[in-house]
Amino acid sequence: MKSSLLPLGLVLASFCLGAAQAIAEPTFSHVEHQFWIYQHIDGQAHFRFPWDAEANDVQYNKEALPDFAKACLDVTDASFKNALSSVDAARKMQDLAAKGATSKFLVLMNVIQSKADYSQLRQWDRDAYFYQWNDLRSKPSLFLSDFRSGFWVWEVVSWPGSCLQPPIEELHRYLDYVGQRLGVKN
Amino acid sequence: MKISNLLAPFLFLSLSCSETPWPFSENDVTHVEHSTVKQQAIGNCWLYAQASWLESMLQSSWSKEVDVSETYWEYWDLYEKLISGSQKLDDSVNTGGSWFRSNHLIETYGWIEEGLFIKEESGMIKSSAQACAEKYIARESTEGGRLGPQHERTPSYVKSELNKAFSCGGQYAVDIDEAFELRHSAADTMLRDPKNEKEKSLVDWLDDWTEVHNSTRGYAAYEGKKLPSRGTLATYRSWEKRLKRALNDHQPVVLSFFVSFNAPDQNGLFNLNTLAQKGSLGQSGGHMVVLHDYTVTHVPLLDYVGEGERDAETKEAALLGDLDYVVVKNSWGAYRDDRPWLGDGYSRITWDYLTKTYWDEESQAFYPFLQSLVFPPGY
Repeated sequence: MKSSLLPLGLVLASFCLGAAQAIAEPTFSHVEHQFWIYQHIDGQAHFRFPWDAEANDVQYNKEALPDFAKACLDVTDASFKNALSSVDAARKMQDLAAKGATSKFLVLMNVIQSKADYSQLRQWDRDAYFYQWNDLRSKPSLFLSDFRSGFWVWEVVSWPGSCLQPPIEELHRYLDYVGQRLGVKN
Repeated sequence: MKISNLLAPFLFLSLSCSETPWPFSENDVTHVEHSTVKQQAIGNCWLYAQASWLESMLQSSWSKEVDVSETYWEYWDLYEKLISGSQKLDDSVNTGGSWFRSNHLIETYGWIEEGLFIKEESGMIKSSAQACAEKYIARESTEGGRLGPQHERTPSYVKSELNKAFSCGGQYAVDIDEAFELRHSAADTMLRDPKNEKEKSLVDWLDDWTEVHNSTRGYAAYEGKKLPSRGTLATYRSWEKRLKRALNDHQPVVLSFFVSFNAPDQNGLFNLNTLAQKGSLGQSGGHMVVLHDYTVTHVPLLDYVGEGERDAETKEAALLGDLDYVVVKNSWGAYRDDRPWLGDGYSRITWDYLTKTYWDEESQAFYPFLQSLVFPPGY
Protein backbone atom coordinates (compact mmCIF):
# COMPACT_ATOMS: atom_id res chain seq x y z
CA MET A 1 0.00 0.00 0.00
CA LYS A 2 1.43 3.35 -1.03
CA SER A 3 1.49 6.11 1.48
CA SER A 4 2.25 9.79 1.35
CA LEU A 5 3.28 11.63 4.45
CA LEU A 6 1.64 14.95 5.17
CA PRO A 7 3.62 17.64 7.01
CA LEU A 8 1.17 17.72 9.90
CA GLY A 9 3.88 18.17 12.47
CA LEU A 10 5.22 21.23 10.71
CA VAL A 11 1.82 22.83 10.35
CA LEU A 12 0.98 22.26 13.97
CA ALA A 13 4.37 23.37 15.21
CA SER A 14 4.22 26.67 13.37
CA PHE A 15 0.63 27.23 14.48
CA CYS A 16 1.49 26.50 18.08
CA LEU A 17 4.22 29.10 18.25
CA GLY A 18 1.56 31.73 18.84
CA ALA A 19 -0.58 29.63 21.15
CA ALA A 20 -0.83 30.59 24.81
CA GLN A 21 -0.20 27.02 25.91
CA ALA A 22 2.44 24.98 24.16
CA ILE A 23 1.25 21.80 22.48
CA ALA A 24 3.72 19.08 21.61
CA GLU A 25 4.08 17.98 18.02
CA PRO A 26 1.46 15.43 17.07
CA THR A 27 2.43 11.79 17.03
CA PHE A 28 0.80 10.78 13.74
CA SER A 29 3.01 7.91 12.69
CA HIS A 30 1.85 7.99 9.10
CA VAL A 31 -0.89 9.08 6.73
CA GLU A 32 -2.18 6.99 3.84
CA HIS A 33 -4.49 7.74 0.92
CA GLN A 34 -7.14 5.50 -0.59
CA PHE A 35 -9.29 6.31 -3.63
CA TRP A 36 -12.60 4.56 -4.09
CA ILE A 37 -13.61 5.24 -7.67
CA TYR A 38 -17.16 4.03 -8.32
CA GLN A 39 -18.10 2.60 -11.72
CA HIS A 40 -21.33 3.87 -13.23
CA ILE A 41 -23.30 1.02 -14.80
CA ASP A 42 -26.98 1.24 -15.85
CA GLY A 43 -27.40 4.54 -14.04
CA GLN A 44 -26.10 3.19 -10.74
CA ALA A 45 -22.83 3.41 -8.85
CA HIS A 46 -20.95 0.15 -8.39
CA PHE A 47 -18.00 -0.64 -6.12
CA ARG A 48 -16.46 -3.78 -4.70
CA PHE A 49 -15.90 -2.97 -1.03
CA PRO A 50 -12.94 -4.51 0.81
CA TRP A 51 -15.29 -6.35 3.22
CA ASP A 52 -17.58 -7.71 0.51
CA ALA A 53 -15.29 -9.12 -2.13
CA GLU A 54 -12.04 -11.04 -2.31
CA ALA A 55 -10.80 -8.57 -4.91
CA ASN A 56 -11.83 -4.98 -4.25
CA ASP A 57 -11.80 -1.74 -6.23
CA VAL A 58 -9.68 0.30 -3.81
CA GLN A 59 -6.97 2.33 -5.58
CA TYR A 60 -3.91 4.05 -4.17
CA ASN A 61 -2.58 5.93 -7.20
CA LYS A 62 -3.68 9.57 -7.30
CA GLU A 63 -2.67 9.78 -10.98
CA ALA A 64 -5.64 7.55 -11.80
CA LEU A 65 -8.08 10.17 -10.52
CA PRO A 66 -10.19 12.27 -12.88
CA ASP A 67 -9.34 16.00 -12.89
CA PHE A 68 -12.24 17.04 -10.61
CA ALA A 69 -11.08 14.48 -8.03
CA LYS A 70 -7.46 15.62 -8.26
CA ALA A 71 -8.62 19.14 -7.49
CA CYS A 72 -10.68 17.78 -4.59
CA LEU A 73 -7.65 15.95 -3.27
CA ASP A 74 -5.76 19.24 -2.94
CA VAL A 75 -8.71 20.71 -1.04
CA THR A 76 -8.94 17.57 1.09
CA ASP A 77 -5.29 17.56 2.14
CA ALA A 78 -5.53 21.21 3.12
CA SER A 79 -8.82 20.73 5.02
CA PHE A 80 -7.48 17.68 6.80
CA LYS A 81 -4.33 19.49 7.89
CA ASN A 82 -6.19 22.60 8.97
CA ALA A 83 -8.83 20.72 10.93
CA LEU A 84 -6.40 18.54 12.85
CA SER A 85 -3.84 21.23 13.50
CA SER A 86 -6.28 23.59 15.18
CA VAL A 87 -5.39 24.09 18.85
CA ASP A 88 -8.51 22.31 20.11
CA ALA A 89 -8.18 19.29 17.84
CA ALA A 90 -4.44 19.01 18.40
CA ARG A 91 -4.92 19.08 22.15
CA LYS A 92 -7.63 16.43 21.96
CA MET A 93 -5.49 14.24 19.72
CA GLN A 94 -2.62 14.62 22.13
CA ASP A 95 -4.82 13.61 25.07
CA LEU A 96 -6.09 10.62 23.13
CA ALA A 97 -2.57 9.56 22.19
CA ALA A 98 -1.65 9.72 25.88
CA LYS A 99 -4.58 7.35 26.56
CA GLY A 100 -3.23 4.94 23.97
CA ALA A 101 -5.24 5.93 20.87
CA THR A 102 -3.94 5.06 17.42
CA SER A 103 -1.82 7.65 15.63
CA LYS A 104 -2.27 6.32 12.09
CA PHE A 105 -4.28 8.29 9.56
CA LEU A 106 -6.11 7.41 6.38
CA VAL A 107 -7.52 9.89 3.87
CA LEU A 108 -10.28 8.10 1.97
CA MET A 109 -11.82 9.70 -1.11
CA ASN A 110 -15.05 8.39 -2.66
CA VAL A 111 -15.16 9.41 -6.32
CA ILE A 112 -18.62 9.35 -7.91
CA GLN A 113 -20.20 10.73 -11.07
CA SER A 114 -23.07 12.86 -9.77
CA LYS A 115 -25.09 13.99 -6.77
CA ALA A 116 -27.58 11.22 -7.52
CA ASP A 117 -24.90 8.70 -6.61
CA TYR A 118 -24.37 10.43 -3.27
CA SER A 119 -27.69 9.20 -1.80
CA GLN A 120 -26.71 5.70 -2.88
CA LEU A 121 -23.39 6.12 -1.03
CA ARG A 122 -25.28 7.09 2.14
CA GLN A 123 -27.14 3.79 1.95
CA TRP A 124 -23.74 2.10 1.96
CA ASP A 125 -22.70 4.07 5.03
CA ARG A 126 -20.25 6.13 2.97
CA ASP A 127 -20.22 9.86 3.62
CA ALA A 128 -17.92 12.77 4.39
CA TYR A 129 -17.08 11.98 8.02
CA PHE A 130 -14.20 11.66 10.48
CA TYR A 131 -14.06 8.36 12.36
CA GLN A 132 -11.92 5.45 13.45
CA TRP A 133 -11.54 2.20 11.50
CA ASN A 134 -9.94 -0.88 13.04
CA ASP A 135 -9.62 -3.38 10.27
CA LEU A 136 -9.46 -2.29 6.66
CA ARG A 137 -11.00 -5.63 5.60
CA SER A 138 -14.08 -5.22 7.83
CA LYS A 139 -16.96 -2.77 7.60
CA PRO A 140 -16.24 0.16 9.94
CA SER A 141 -18.70 0.42 12.83
CA LEU A 142 -18.65 2.57 15.91
CA PHE A 143 -19.79 -0.18 18.28
CA LEU A 144 -16.78 -2.36 17.48
CA SER A 145 -14.23 0.46 17.47
CA ASP A 146 -11.11 -0.26 19.47
CA PHE A 147 -9.48 3.16 19.35
CA ARG A 148 -6.09 1.82 20.34
CA SER A 149 -5.55 0.23 16.95
CA GLY A 150 -6.37 0.86 13.30
CA PHE A 151 -6.68 4.24 11.63
CA TRP A 152 -8.30 7.59 12.03
CA VAL A 153 -10.17 8.17 8.79
CA TRP A 154 -10.80 11.47 7.03
CA GLU A 155 -13.41 10.40 4.48
CA VAL A 156 -14.55 12.72 1.68
CA VAL A 157 -16.88 12.51 -1.31
CA SER A 158 -16.02 13.99 -4.67
CA TRP A 159 -18.06 14.44 -7.84
CA PRO A 160 -17.88 17.13 -10.58
CA GLY A 161 -18.43 20.48 -8.90
CA SER A 162 -18.46 19.09 -5.32
CA CYS A 163 -15.88 18.11 -2.76
CA LEU A 164 -17.54 17.20 0.57
CA GLN A 165 -15.35 17.32 3.68
CA PRO A 166 -16.16 15.98 7.19
CA PRO A 167 -18.03 18.50 9.36
CA ILE A 168 -15.60 20.00 11.91
CA GLU A 169 -18.26 19.96 14.63
CA GLU A 170 -18.67 16.21 14.13
CA LEU A 171 -14.91 15.72 14.30
CA HIS A 172 -14.87 17.34 17.73
CA ARG A 173 -17.90 15.34 18.89
CA TYR A 174 -16.15 12.19 17.75
CA LEU A 175 -12.88 13.02 19.48
CA ASP A 176 -14.78 13.86 22.69
CA TYR A 177 -16.59 10.54 22.51
CA VAL A 178 -13.36 8.60 21.99
CA GLY A 179 -11.93 10.42 25.01
CA GLN A 180 -14.83 9.11 27.10
CA ARG A 181 -14.44 5.54 25.82
CA LEU A 182 -10.70 5.54 26.43
CA GLY A 183 -11.21 7.17 29.81
CA VAL A 184 -12.75 4.07 31.36
CA LYS A 185 -10.73 1.04 32.43
CA ASN A 186 -12.41 -1.71 30.45
CA MET B 1 -40.24 -7.29 19.72
CA LYS B 2 -39.10 -10.63 18.49
CA ILE B 3 -37.13 -12.50 21.12
CA SER B 4 -34.43 -14.62 19.58
CA ASN B 5 -34.13 -18.26 20.43
CA LEU B 6 -30.38 -17.80 20.28
CA LEU B 7 -30.30 -17.30 24.01
CA ALA B 8 -32.06 -20.54 24.80
CA PRO B 9 -29.02 -22.83 24.63
CA PHE B 10 -27.42 -20.91 27.49
CA LEU B 11 -30.36 -21.39 29.72
CA PHE B 12 -30.04 -25.13 30.25
CA LEU B 13 -26.65 -24.79 31.87
CA SER B 14 -26.24 -25.82 35.49
CA LEU B 15 -26.98 -23.36 38.27
CA SER B 16 -25.01 -22.66 41.38
CA CYS B 17 -27.25 -20.74 43.77
CA SER B 18 -26.55 -19.00 47.01
CA GLU B 19 -28.73 -17.27 49.55
CA THR B 20 -26.00 -14.73 50.30
CA PRO B 21 -27.32 -11.21 49.74
CA TRP B 22 -25.44 -9.05 47.22
CA PRO B 23 -23.04 -6.70 48.95
CA PHE B 24 -24.38 -3.40 47.60
CA SER B 25 -21.95 -0.53 47.80
CA GLU B 26 -22.77 2.08 50.38
CA ASN B 27 -22.80 4.93 47.90
CA ASP B 28 -25.88 3.93 46.14
CA VAL B 29 -28.93 6.51 43.58
CA THR B 30 -32.12 4.49 44.09
CA HIS B 31 -33.41 1.00 44.77
CA VAL B 32 -36.53 -0.44 43.14
CA GLU B 33 -38.12 -3.30 45.15
CA HIS B 34 -37.60 -6.66 43.48
CA SER B 35 -38.35 -10.31 44.23
CA THR B 36 -35.81 -13.15 44.11
CA VAL B 37 -33.88 -13.52 40.85
CA LYS B 38 -34.95 -16.49 38.74
CA GLN B 39 -33.38 -18.32 35.83
CA GLN B 40 -35.38 -18.74 32.64
CA ALA B 41 -35.22 -22.29 31.28
CA ILE B 42 -36.32 -21.41 27.74
CA GLY B 43 -36.30 -18.28 25.54
CA ASN B 44 -39.09 -16.45 27.39
CA CYS B 45 -37.27 -13.56 29.10
CA TRP B 46 -40.29 -11.36 28.28
CA LEU B 47 -42.48 -13.39 30.67
CA TYR B 48 -39.84 -13.18 33.41
CA ALA B 49 -39.61 -9.41 32.89
CA GLN B 50 -43.40 -9.12 33.07
CA ALA B 51 -43.47 -11.23 36.24
CA SER B 52 -40.66 -9.15 37.79
CA TRP B 53 -42.61 -6.00 36.99
CA LEU B 54 -45.80 -7.40 38.56
CA GLU B 55 -43.95 -8.77 41.59
CA SER B 56 -42.37 -5.36 42.16
CA MET B 57 -45.76 -3.66 41.90
CA LEU B 58 -47.31 -6.24 44.27
CA GLN B 59 -44.42 -5.86 46.70
CA SER B 60 -44.93 -2.09 46.81
CA SER B 61 -48.68 -2.50 47.39
CA TRP B 62 -48.83 -5.57 49.63
CA SER B 63 -45.47 -5.16 51.38
CA LYS B 64 -44.58 -8.81 50.82
CA GLU B 65 -42.79 -10.82 48.18
CA VAL B 66 -45.10 -12.74 45.84
CA ASP B 67 -43.88 -15.56 43.59
CA VAL B 68 -45.85 -14.99 40.35
CA SER B 69 -45.90 -18.03 38.06
CA GLU B 70 -44.22 -17.45 34.71
CA THR B 71 -45.04 -21.07 33.86
CA TYR B 72 -48.77 -20.32 34.01
CA TRP B 73 -48.37 -17.60 31.36
CA GLU B 74 -46.00 -19.76 29.32
CA TYR B 75 -48.74 -22.39 29.27
CA TRP B 76 -51.33 -19.97 27.92
CA ASP B 77 -48.89 -18.48 25.43
CA LEU B 78 -48.16 -21.91 23.96
CA TYR B 79 -51.86 -22.77 24.09
CA GLU B 80 -52.76 -19.75 21.95
CA LYS B 81 -49.89 -20.33 19.54
CA LEU B 82 -50.89 -23.96 19.04
CA ILE B 83 -54.56 -23.09 18.54
CA SER B 84 -53.82 -20.24 16.12
CA GLY B 85 -51.22 -22.23 14.21
CA SER B 86 -48.43 -19.73 14.85
CA GLN B 87 -46.59 -22.70 16.38
CA LYS B 88 -45.58 -24.14 13.05
CA LEU B 89 -44.91 -27.69 12.05
CA ASP B 90 -41.26 -27.78 12.89
CA ASP B 91 -39.13 -28.64 15.87
CA SER B 92 -38.34 -25.07 16.89
CA VAL B 93 -40.75 -24.01 19.63
CA ASN B 94 -41.92 -20.42 19.30
CA THR B 95 -41.26 -19.01 22.78
CA GLY B 96 -40.87 -15.37 21.66
CA GLY B 97 -43.03 -12.53 22.88
CA SER B 98 -43.22 -8.89 23.84
CA TRP B 99 -44.52 -6.51 26.49
CA PHE B 100 -47.70 -6.19 24.43
CA ARG B 101 -48.13 -9.97 24.30
CA SER B 102 -47.54 -10.53 28.02
CA ASN B 103 -50.02 -7.73 28.81
CA HIS B 104 -52.57 -9.58 26.70
CA LEU B 105 -51.91 -12.82 28.60
CA ILE B 106 -52.40 -11.13 31.99
CA GLU B 107 -55.55 -9.36 30.90
CA THR B 108 -57.00 -12.58 29.47
CA TYR B 109 -55.86 -15.22 31.97
CA GLY B 110 -54.88 -13.21 35.06
CA TRP B 111 -51.99 -14.37 37.20
CA ILE B 112 -51.38 -17.01 39.84
CA GLU B 113 -48.84 -17.78 42.57
CA GLU B 114 -46.33 -20.42 41.45
CA GLY B 115 -47.35 -22.82 44.23
CA LEU B 116 -50.99 -22.78 43.12
CA PHE B 117 -50.15 -23.93 39.60
CA ILE B 118 -47.27 -26.39 39.93
CA LYS B 119 -46.75 -26.65 43.66
CA GLU B 120 -43.47 -28.57 43.35
CA GLU B 121 -41.96 -25.53 41.58
CA SER B 122 -42.91 -23.04 44.27
CA GLY B 123 -39.80 -21.14 45.28
CA MET B 124 -37.72 -22.76 42.58
CA ILE B 125 -35.23 -20.54 40.71
CA LYS B 126 -35.51 -22.44 37.45
CA SER B 127 -38.57 -24.21 36.04
CA SER B 128 -38.23 -27.81 34.94
CA ALA B 129 -41.83 -27.85 33.74
CA GLN B 130 -41.12 -25.24 31.07
CA ALA B 131 -38.08 -27.11 29.80
CA CYS B 132 -40.12 -30.35 29.67
CA ALA B 133 -42.94 -28.59 27.81
CA GLU B 134 -40.61 -27.14 25.22
CA LYS B 135 -39.08 -30.54 24.58
CA TYR B 136 -42.50 -32.19 24.36
CA ILE B 137 -43.87 -29.63 21.92
CA ALA B 138 -40.74 -29.70 19.79
CA ARG B 139 -41.23 -33.45 19.48
CA GLU B 140 -45.01 -33.53 19.00
CA SER B 141 -45.67 -30.50 16.80
CA THR B 142 -43.99 -32.14 13.84
CA GLU B 143 -45.36 -34.19 10.96
CA GLY B 144 -46.89 -37.30 12.54
CA GLY B 145 -46.65 -35.87 16.07
CA ARG B 146 -49.55 -35.65 18.53
CA LEU B 147 -49.79 -31.89 17.96
CA GLY B 148 -49.01 -32.05 14.25
CA PRO B 149 -52.36 -31.80 12.47
CA GLN B 150 -53.73 -28.27 12.87
CA HIS B 151 -57.38 -29.40 12.51
CA GLU B 152 -56.97 -31.62 15.56
CA ARG B 153 -55.76 -28.76 17.75
CA THR B 154 -59.07 -28.14 19.50
CA PRO B 155 -59.03 -26.22 22.82
CA SER B 156 -59.71 -29.27 24.99
CA TYR B 157 -57.24 -31.47 23.08
CA VAL B 158 -54.47 -28.86 23.22
CA LYS B 159 -55.07 -28.40 26.97
CA SER B 160 -54.83 -32.12 27.59
CA GLU B 161 -51.58 -32.24 25.59
CA LEU B 162 -50.13 -29.21 27.39
CA ASN B 163 -51.12 -30.60 30.80
CA LYS B 164 -49.08 -33.62 29.83
CA ALA B 165 -46.22 -31.54 28.42
CA PHE B 166 -45.84 -29.44 31.57
CA SER B 167 -46.13 -32.47 33.85
CA CYS B 168 -42.62 -33.67 32.95
CA GLY B 169 -43.74 -37.21 32.23
CA GLY B 170 -46.20 -37.32 35.13
CA GLN B 171 -43.82 -35.87 37.71
CA TYR B 172 -46.16 -32.92 38.35
CA ALA B 173 -49.97 -32.80 38.46
CA VAL B 174 -50.94 -30.06 36.01
CA ASP B 175 -54.55 -28.97 35.48
CA ILE B 176 -54.88 -25.64 33.73
CA ASP B 177 -58.66 -25.37 34.20
CA GLU B 178 -58.27 -25.78 37.94
CA ALA B 179 -55.49 -23.17 37.96
CA PHE B 180 -57.65 -20.79 35.96
CA GLU B 181 -60.34 -21.06 38.65
CA LEU B 182 -57.76 -20.12 41.30
CA ARG B 183 -56.24 -17.23 39.33
CA HIS B 184 -56.27 -13.58 40.34
CA SER B 185 -58.00 -11.70 37.54
CA ALA B 186 -56.32 -8.49 36.41
CA ALA B 187 -59.55 -6.58 37.02
CA ASP B 188 -59.69 -7.73 40.66
CA THR B 189 -56.01 -7.16 41.44
CA MET B 190 -55.76 -3.77 43.12
CA LEU B 191 -52.37 -2.03 43.20
CA ARG B 192 -51.36 1.10 45.04
CA ASP B 193 -49.75 4.05 43.29
CA PRO B 194 -46.51 4.64 45.22
CA LYS B 195 -46.72 8.36 44.45
CA ASN B 196 -50.20 9.21 45.71
CA GLU B 197 -51.28 6.03 47.57
CA LYS B 198 -54.37 5.70 45.34
CA GLU B 199 -55.41 2.20 44.29
CA LYS B 200 -56.39 1.05 40.84
CA SER B 201 -56.75 -2.29 39.11
CA LEU B 202 -53.98 -4.16 37.30
CA VAL B 203 -55.94 -3.68 34.07
CA ASP B 204 -55.73 0.09 34.51
CA TRP B 205 -52.04 -0.08 35.40
CA LEU B 206 -51.26 -2.09 32.27
CA ASP B 207 -53.18 0.43 30.19
CA ASP B 208 -51.35 3.35 31.79
CA TRP B 209 -47.78 2.06 31.47
CA THR B 210 -46.49 3.07 28.05
CA GLU B 211 -43.95 1.30 25.88
CA VAL B 212 -41.83 3.66 23.78
CA HIS B 213 -40.08 2.01 20.86
CA ASN B 214 -36.77 3.17 19.49
CA SER B 215 -37.64 4.78 16.18
CA THR B 216 -34.05 5.60 15.23
CA ARG B 217 -33.95 2.47 13.05
CA GLY B 218 -34.49 4.20 9.73
CA TYR B 219 -31.56 6.47 10.44
CA ALA B 220 -29.40 3.79 11.97
CA ALA B 221 -29.99 1.48 9.04
CA TYR B 222 -26.97 2.94 7.26
CA GLU B 223 -25.15 5.17 9.74
CA GLY B 224 -23.06 2.63 11.60
CA LYS B 225 -19.71 4.36 11.81
CA LYS B 226 -21.17 7.68 12.94
CA LEU B 227 -22.10 8.97 16.36
CA PRO B 228 -25.84 9.24 16.98
CA SER B 229 -27.20 12.47 15.48
CA ARG B 230 -28.08 15.37 17.72
CA GLY B 231 -31.78 14.59 17.15
CA THR B 232 -31.30 11.00 18.27
CA LEU B 233 -29.28 12.13 21.27
CA ALA B 234 -32.10 14.50 22.25
CA THR B 235 -34.51 11.55 22.22
CA TYR B 236 -32.13 9.49 24.37
CA ARG B 237 -31.65 12.44 26.72
CA SER B 238 -35.42 12.69 27.16
CA TRP B 239 -35.69 8.94 27.87
CA GLU B 240 -32.77 9.18 30.25
CA LYS B 241 -34.56 11.84 32.28
CA ARG B 242 -37.85 9.91 32.33
CA LEU B 243 -36.04 6.74 33.34
CA LYS B 244 -34.15 8.42 36.19
CA ARG B 245 -37.25 10.15 37.55
CA ALA B 246 -39.23 6.90 37.48
CA LEU B 247 -36.46 4.92 39.18
CA ASN B 248 -36.01 7.64 41.79
CA ASP B 249 -39.67 6.98 42.68
CA HIS B 250 -39.07 3.19 42.79
CA GLN B 251 -41.03 2.43 39.61
CA PRO B 252 -39.98 -0.82 37.84
CA VAL B 253 -39.20 0.47 34.33
CA VAL B 254 -38.94 -2.33 31.74
CA LEU B 255 -36.12 -2.42 29.17
CA SER B 256 -35.89 -4.37 25.90
CA PHE B 257 -32.49 -4.46 24.26
CA PHE B 258 -30.20 -6.45 22.01
CA VAL B 259 -27.78 -8.39 24.16
CA SER B 260 -24.33 -9.58 23.12
CA PHE B 261 -22.59 -12.12 25.32
CA ASN B 262 -19.29 -10.60 24.23
CA ALA B 263 -20.15 -7.27 25.91
CA PRO B 264 -19.94 -7.99 29.68
CA ASP B 265 -16.57 -7.49 31.36
CA GLN B 266 -15.35 -9.65 34.25
CA ASN B 267 -17.60 -7.67 36.62
CA GLY B 268 -20.68 -8.15 34.44
CA LEU B 269 -20.76 -4.60 33.08
CA PHE B 270 -22.05 -4.63 29.49
CA ASN B 271 -19.94 -2.09 27.61
CA LEU B 272 -18.62 -1.34 24.14
CA ASN B 273 -14.92 -1.47 24.94
CA THR B 274 -15.16 -5.10 26.01
CA LEU B 275 -17.24 -5.87 22.93
CA ALA B 276 -14.75 -4.09 20.66
CA GLN B 277 -11.88 -6.10 22.13
CA LYS B 278 -13.77 -9.31 21.32
CA GLY B 279 -14.33 -8.00 17.79
CA SER B 280 -17.77 -9.52 17.16
CA LEU B 281 -21.22 -9.80 18.72
CA GLY B 282 -20.86 -13.52 19.41
CA GLN B 283 -23.94 -15.18 20.93
CA SER B 284 -26.61 -12.50 20.83
CA GLY B 285 -30.34 -11.78 20.63
CA GLY B 286 -33.26 -9.77 21.99
CA HIS B 287 -33.69 -9.58 25.75
CA MET B 288 -36.08 -8.00 28.25
CA VAL B 289 -35.29 -7.01 31.85
CA VAL B 290 -36.58 -4.75 34.62
CA LEU B 291 -34.55 -1.79 35.88
CA HIS B 292 -33.43 -1.56 39.46
CA ASP B 293 -30.96 1.31 39.83
CA TYR B 294 -28.64 3.63 37.88
CA THR B 295 -25.44 5.62 38.24
CA VAL B 296 -24.58 9.06 36.88
CA THR B 297 -21.46 11.05 36.05
CA HIS B 298 -20.91 14.81 35.79
CA VAL B 299 -23.31 15.62 38.60
CA PRO B 300 -22.97 19.26 39.72
CA LEU B 301 -20.95 19.40 42.98
CA LEU B 302 -20.95 15.61 43.34
CA ASP B 303 -19.36 14.48 40.04
CA TYR B 304 -20.47 10.85 40.40
CA VAL B 305 -23.43 9.17 42.08
CA GLY B 306 -23.17 5.39 42.43
CA GLU B 307 -25.65 2.59 43.08
CA GLY B 308 -28.18 2.35 45.91
CA GLU B 309 -30.83 4.39 47.71
CA ARG B 310 -29.87 8.06 48.15
CA ASP B 311 -31.58 10.99 49.85
CA ALA B 312 -34.07 13.13 47.90
CA GLU B 313 -31.57 15.93 47.36
CA THR B 314 -28.95 13.63 45.82
CA LYS B 315 -31.60 11.99 43.64
CA GLU B 316 -32.64 15.42 42.37
CA ALA B 317 -28.99 16.23 41.61
CA ALA B 318 -28.62 12.88 39.82
CA LEU B 319 -31.26 14.03 37.32
CA LEU B 320 -28.78 16.64 36.09
CA GLY B 321 -25.92 14.19 35.55
CA ASP B 322 -25.13 11.95 32.58
CA LEU B 323 -26.44 8.40 32.88
CA ASP B 324 -23.44 6.07 33.19
CA TYR B 325 -25.02 2.63 33.55
CA VAL B 326 -28.29 1.03 34.60
CA VAL B 327 -28.62 -1.89 37.00
CA VAL B 328 -31.23 -4.44 35.89
CA LYS B 329 -32.84 -7.47 37.45
CA ASN B 330 -31.97 -10.24 35.04
CA SER B 331 -33.49 -13.70 34.50
CA TRP B 332 -30.34 -15.75 34.05
CA GLY B 333 -30.00 -16.95 37.63
CA ALA B 334 -27.36 -15.95 40.18
CA TYR B 335 -23.97 -17.08 41.49
CA ARG B 336 -23.42 -19.42 38.57
CA ASP B 337 -20.09 -21.18 38.22
CA ASP B 338 -20.36 -21.07 34.43
CA ARG B 339 -21.04 -17.32 34.38
CA PRO B 340 -19.38 -15.82 37.42
CA TRP B 341 -19.89 -12.29 36.03
CA LEU B 342 -23.63 -12.65 36.69
CA GLY B 343 -22.97 -12.21 40.41
CA ASP B 344 -26.24 -11.87 42.30
CA GLY B 345 -28.24 -11.93 39.05
CA TYR B 346 -28.42 -8.15 38.63
CA SER B 347 -26.64 -6.98 35.48
CA ARG B 348 -25.12 -3.61 34.66
CA ILE B 349 -25.43 -2.08 31.19
CA THR B 350 -23.77 1.17 30.11
CA TRP B 351 -25.94 3.84 28.53
CA ASP B 352 -23.19 4.14 25.91
CA TYR B 353 -23.86 0.52 24.88
CA LEU B 354 -27.62 0.99 24.77
CA THR B 355 -27.51 4.17 22.69
CA LYS B 356 -25.28 2.84 19.90
CA THR B 357 -26.06 0.63 16.93
CA TYR B 358 -24.94 -2.87 15.95
CA TRP B 359 -24.56 -4.46 12.53
CA ASP B 360 -27.09 -7.15 11.72
CA GLU B 361 -25.62 -9.52 9.15
CA GLU B 362 -28.96 -11.06 8.21
CA SER B 363 -30.73 -7.83 7.28
CA GLN B 364 -27.51 -6.01 6.33
CA ALA B 365 -28.41 -2.97 8.43
CA PHE B 366 -27.51 -1.23 11.68
CA TYR B 367 -30.00 -1.36 14.57
CA PRO B 368 -29.97 0.34 17.98
CA PHE B 369 -29.11 -1.88 20.96
CA LEU B 370 -31.89 -0.19 22.92
CA GLN B 371 -35.20 -1.45 21.52
CA SER B 372 -37.84 -0.11 23.90
CA LEU B 373 -38.60 1.16 27.40
CA VAL B 374 -41.86 0.81 29.33
CA PHE B 375 -42.58 3.86 31.46
CA PRO B 376 -45.13 4.35 34.25
CA PRO B 377 -47.84 7.00 33.88
CA GLY B 378 -46.72 10.52 34.66
CA TYR B 379 -43.08 10.03 33.63
